[in-house]
Amino acid sequence: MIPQNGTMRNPDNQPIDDMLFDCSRELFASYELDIQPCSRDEFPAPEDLAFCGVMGFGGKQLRGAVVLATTREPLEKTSPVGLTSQRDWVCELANQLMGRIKNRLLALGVEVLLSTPSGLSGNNLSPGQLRAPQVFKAATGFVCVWIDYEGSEGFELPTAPSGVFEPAVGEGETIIF
Amino acid sequence: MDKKILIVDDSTTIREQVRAAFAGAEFEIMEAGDGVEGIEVITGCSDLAAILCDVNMPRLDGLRMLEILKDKGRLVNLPVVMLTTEGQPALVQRAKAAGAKGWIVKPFKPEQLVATMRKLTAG
Repeated sequence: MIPQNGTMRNPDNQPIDDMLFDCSRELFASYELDIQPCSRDEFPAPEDLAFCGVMGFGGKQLRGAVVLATTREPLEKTSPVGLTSQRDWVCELANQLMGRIKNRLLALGVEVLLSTPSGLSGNNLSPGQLRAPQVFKAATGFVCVWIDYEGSEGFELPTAPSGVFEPAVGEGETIIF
Repeated sequence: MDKKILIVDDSTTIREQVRAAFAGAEFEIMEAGDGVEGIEVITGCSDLAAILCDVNMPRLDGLRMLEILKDKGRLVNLPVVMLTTEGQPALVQRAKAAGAKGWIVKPFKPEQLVATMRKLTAG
C-alpha cells in the first residue's frame, strides 16, 4: 500500500495506483535498486529526466497507458550490461512494469492486451503537471510512474482474486514444457 | 563448435543481456529484432541449436512467428523458449501448442538462462 504522507496519487484510482506502486517497487527491487516514495516537490527539473517509456494496454474492461520516467542514475543502476541505449532500457523497464501489472489484473479477472513499448525523450516532460504521478527516489536519482486509464461503463476493479486467470508463470520464473 | 542460439527481441538491451549471459559458454549468439527478422535468420541458418523469443514485438510478434515456423515444419528438433514479461496462461498454452519448449518471465537470471538452454540443447 502507498503510505499516505508525501506521496502522489489520484484517490479516484486508488486500487490501481496501489498496484502501480507495488509493482514499481518490486520491479526495481528485482534489479537490486531500492526506491522509496517521496514528494513530487523533490522530483528534479524536467530537463533532468532521461527518457520515459510508455506501455499501452487495452481490454474489454480497461484501457490506457503506463508511463515510467527516470533520471539517468536509476537506468544506469538497473541495466545489467551497461547503458548503451537509455531509450531502449527505459522502454524495457516500462514493458516489465506493465507485465507485472497485467499479471495482477489477470489474477483479479481483468484481462488486457499489451502494445509494444514506446520511448519518449524526457526533456519536455513535466511530471508536476501530470494528473497523478507517483514519485520515488533511489540512493541516487528519481523514478516517476503514472497510469492513465478509462474503464468500461460500471467497471470497478475487483478486490479479490478471480481464480480464473492466475498467471501461469510468475516474474523471474522458468518453466519447461 | 559452439552451438548457435538466436535471440529474437525488439530490445537491444535484452539482446545484449542475453549475449552477456552466454559469454564464455559454448554458445554463439545470433540476434533478430522482431518476428520478421527472426524468420529470415531461422530460414537462412540451418544449424541453429535453439531460439529464445520475446512475445510482444513490432511487425510480427513471437507467438505468430512460432506458428508460422511450425506450419513450415521449421521447428522440428529446434527448441524454442519464450522470454517475455507475459505470464498469461492462454499465451503460454498457445506457445506450447506451437511447439515451444519453455517459458521464462523477465527479468531473467543469467545462470538460469544458460542452464535452461544447455538442458534443451544437450545431446
